[in-house]
Amino acid sequence: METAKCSEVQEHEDGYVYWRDHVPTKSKTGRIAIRIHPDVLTSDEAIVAVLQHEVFELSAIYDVCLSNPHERMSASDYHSQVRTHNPGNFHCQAWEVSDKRVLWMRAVKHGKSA
Amino acid sequence: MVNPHKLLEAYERGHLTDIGLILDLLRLTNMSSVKDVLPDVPVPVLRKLERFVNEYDGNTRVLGGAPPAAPTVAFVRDQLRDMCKNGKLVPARARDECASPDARRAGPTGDRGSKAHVLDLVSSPAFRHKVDNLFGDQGIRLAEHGYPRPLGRRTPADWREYELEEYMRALPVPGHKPLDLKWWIPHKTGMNRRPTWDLLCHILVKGKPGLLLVEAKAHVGEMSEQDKKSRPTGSNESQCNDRRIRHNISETNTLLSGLGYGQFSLSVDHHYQLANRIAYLSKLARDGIPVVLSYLGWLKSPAWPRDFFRDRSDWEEVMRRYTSGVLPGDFPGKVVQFENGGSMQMLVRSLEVEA
Repeated sequence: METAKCSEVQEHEDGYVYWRDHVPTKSKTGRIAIRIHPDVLTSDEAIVAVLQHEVFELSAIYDVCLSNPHERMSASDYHSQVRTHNPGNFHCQAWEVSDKRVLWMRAVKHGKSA
Repeated sequence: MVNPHKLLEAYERGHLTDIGLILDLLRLTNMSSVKDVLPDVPVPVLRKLERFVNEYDGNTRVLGGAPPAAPTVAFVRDQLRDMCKNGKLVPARARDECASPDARRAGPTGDRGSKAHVLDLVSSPAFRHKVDNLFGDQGIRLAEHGYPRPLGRRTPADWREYELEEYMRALPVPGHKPLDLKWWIPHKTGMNRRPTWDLLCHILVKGKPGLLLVEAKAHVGEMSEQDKKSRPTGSNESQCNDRRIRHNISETNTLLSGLGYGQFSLSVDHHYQLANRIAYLSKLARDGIPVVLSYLGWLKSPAWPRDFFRDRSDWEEVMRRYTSGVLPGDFPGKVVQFENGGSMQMLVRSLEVEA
C-alpha cells in the first residue's frame, strides 16, 4: 500500500527535476499537497509517521534543490534518494525519523521525558 | 582569468561553450579586443584566438565577418546575448542552458579525450570491477551504491561534472554532513565558481564509507590547465572569495606541512588545480571522512596523438615532475589518518583507453 503521495514529479528533457514541480501549478499559496491513503487516518501514530516521513523527504530535496541556482537536482540523484530499498537514502532516513517521532509521541503520552 | 591554451584547444575542437565564454568575457569586461581580456597571451596564441573570434562573432564590435552557418551556433549565441542583456550571464552553465534539443540529443560538448574516457568508464558494465581493481590493493572498493557522477551520456544532468558541495548534498556520505556551501567561496556567482570534479563516487575505505575524488588527465598538455587562479574582479564578493581561497590554501599548507612528510607549497599562483584538489582532500579528511584523491592518467588516448601518456611509468613520471616542489615526494600513496576517523590518501593511477 502506498501510504502517501506528493504531486507527480517528471524528469525534464535536460535530465533534471525542479523544485517548482513539487508545487501544483494551480496552487496559489505555494503549498504542497500530500495525498494520504485513507487507512492511514485510522491511527494517530500512522498519521504522524506518514506526515513526518513526507516532510523529512521533501525538506531534504528542498535543501538540495535550493543549493542550486536553478532550484533543481539531477533526476538520477532524485530517484536514488526517493526510491525504496536503497539503504541510507532520503526515503529510508525519513522512515527512521518517523520512527523516532512515534517513539517520542509514545513517551509523551506515557508521561516520560522524550 | 581564462587559460588561453584551453580556449584555443576548445576552438580547434569546435566547441560552442568556449566560444560563448570568450564572447561573454569581451562583453562583460566591456573590452574591445581579445588582447584586452587576455593580456598575458603569447602573440601566436593571441592571433589564433582573434581569428576564432572573427570567425564566430559577426556582430560584435570586435570585428565584422559573416555570421556562422550552423543553426546551433547561432542559437547558442543568441541565447548567450539574451543572458548578457538580462544580467544572467553564466558562461559555463550556458552549455546546458542554451543547448537546443538537437544539441542535447547529440551528447555532451567536449566529449573527447579525458572527459569522454570518464564517461565511457562510468557507462561501462565493468565500472565497478575497474574501480575495485585500481584501488583494491589499498583496501578501497566502490560502495554498494557508488553514485558515480558524471553518470553517463543520457542527459545534460548526467554528463555534467559536479562540485563536491553539491554532490555531498544530493548524495550524502552515510553518517557525514555535507561540506559547508561557503567553505571554498562565500559568494557563488556566474564568475565565481567552485572547482568541479572529473569523477566523484562513494567508496568503502577499509570498510568505512568514504569518497573518491578523481582528477583525470589524458595528455601532457592538460597538466598545465588551470595553472593559476584567476584574478578577482573589483566586486566585494569576488575579493572576499579570493581571500577565502587564499586562506584555505595557506591553511592546508600549514596543516599538511606539520604532518612530518615534508614541506607543502600549494599556491594560487602555480599548480592551482593541484592546490585546490589537495585543499579539498584535506578538508574532507579533517571533517572525519575517509577520502581518496586519485590522479588518473588515461594511457594511449587516441584523442592526443602527440603528447599522450605511453604507459604507467610514463604517467607516473609526468606526475612526479608535475608535483615536484609542490608536494613532498613521498606524499602520494601515504595514508594520513586523523583521530576523528577521517583519512586522506592521494593515489596516482592509470587506465588504458579502450578502443
